[in-house]
Amino acid sequence: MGIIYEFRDCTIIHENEKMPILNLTINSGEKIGIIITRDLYDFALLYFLFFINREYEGYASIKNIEFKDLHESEIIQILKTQIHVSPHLPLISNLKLIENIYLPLLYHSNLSENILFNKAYEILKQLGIESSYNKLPAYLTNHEKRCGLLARAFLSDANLVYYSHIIDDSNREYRDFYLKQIIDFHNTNKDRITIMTFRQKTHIPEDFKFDKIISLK
Amino acid sequence: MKRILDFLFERIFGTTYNLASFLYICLEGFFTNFPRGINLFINVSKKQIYFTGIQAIPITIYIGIFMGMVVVTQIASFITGIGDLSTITNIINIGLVRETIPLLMAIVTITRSGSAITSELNLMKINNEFLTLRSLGINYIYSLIFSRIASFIISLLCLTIIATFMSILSGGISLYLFTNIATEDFFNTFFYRISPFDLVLLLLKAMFFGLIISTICCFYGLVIKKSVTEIPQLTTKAVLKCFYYVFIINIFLDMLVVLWE
Repeated sequence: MGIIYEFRDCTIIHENEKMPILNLTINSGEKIGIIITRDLYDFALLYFLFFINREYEGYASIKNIEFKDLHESEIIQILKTQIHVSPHLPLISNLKLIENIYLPLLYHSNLSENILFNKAYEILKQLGIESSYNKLPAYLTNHEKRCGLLARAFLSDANLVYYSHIIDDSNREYRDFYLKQIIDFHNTNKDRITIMTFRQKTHIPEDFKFDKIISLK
Repeated sequence: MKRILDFLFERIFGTTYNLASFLYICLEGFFTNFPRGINLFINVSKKQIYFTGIQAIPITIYIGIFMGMVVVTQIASFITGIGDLSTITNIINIGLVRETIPLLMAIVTITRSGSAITSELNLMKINNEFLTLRSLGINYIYSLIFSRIASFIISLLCLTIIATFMSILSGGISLYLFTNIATEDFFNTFFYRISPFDLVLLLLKAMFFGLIISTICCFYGLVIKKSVTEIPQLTTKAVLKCFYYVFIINIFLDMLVVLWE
């Protein structure tokens, strides 16, 4: 298992505010749990991992290339292999649910829209929200929106998935449902990295065996 | 004095410079990314053509018919016989085909679609949706903005052709109803007198209007900072700027025509 991400004494600077120092290595196939008490830190980490914000101090690298040295074309290649499930970066409001799900692949792959539509519909069926495939995000329930984000992640078959507070605000039934989907998806690829953030330590599911759990306070 | 000159320069050329830079960025985005993401580009373009072009066909037909009727009704009182046909066709050619129809269609698309584009993009920006696209590795300038500009030009071009066709048709029919001049005579004279140059000018105007309207509306759709209250302000600003630039381009093209002729 090779090191994919490495953060040494890394301080992410988000909107002029410094985050707590981050020391973390992420290897392929790992499940990482991160306890983040402030939403701002969750924002900051998400934006940093997805190259929206690249301001930091210390050392941060991906596959031994420092974040500072990455070119735009390299960043695009990296972004193709990772995806987020986060309310901070929502579904696109003027696209229907199913269009939102196949949007990344519509851009990055050469597959036709019909093929992508069928694949996305199958995932929606698996998540039990296929009846809402034609709705705009404004007409979806919170559960449907989360499932939409999950479906987008599952369809993209990304190597790294960042789940931001997905189970923090959910009731027991939905929580178990999301966890089962996340575990099943993680297990479909032995190299897949799963990062999940939680607001409190007590929210971390006991049956979900994380390789590392860190805290950003 | 220098400050006053700077201020005037900023006021007159500042926006033009910003718009030109924005258009350059869009074009650069297109040429550096093409053909990657062409499926998404086509998807967004099809939707924009549907909203700006296809949905506006009824109002375009309506405007075309009534403009043709209005012009002919106004000049019907001067008509004494078939000998005046060349005058009538000249008025319809210059008044309608060259001037009124392209301007009217520009106004219709500014108010119908231009304002919609600005407010839609503003909302998307406030909701972090552009960041979502960026985080998914999608170049939104190319796939969302440039596709809108391209499809807006195509839509306005098609709408202008439809409106022109309808106005000539209704002009001919109205002329027959008001003056008993045969429709066939009118069309024969009209198509004899109209030159390819007139048609090229019509299409050029539609193309430039489409380009400037969509560029302005997309530009003001992206400059919003954080507050929802900025949306109506920016939409109004975009609409007014569109009018301003459309009239300037219209005068500029007309002046070129006068010099040419």
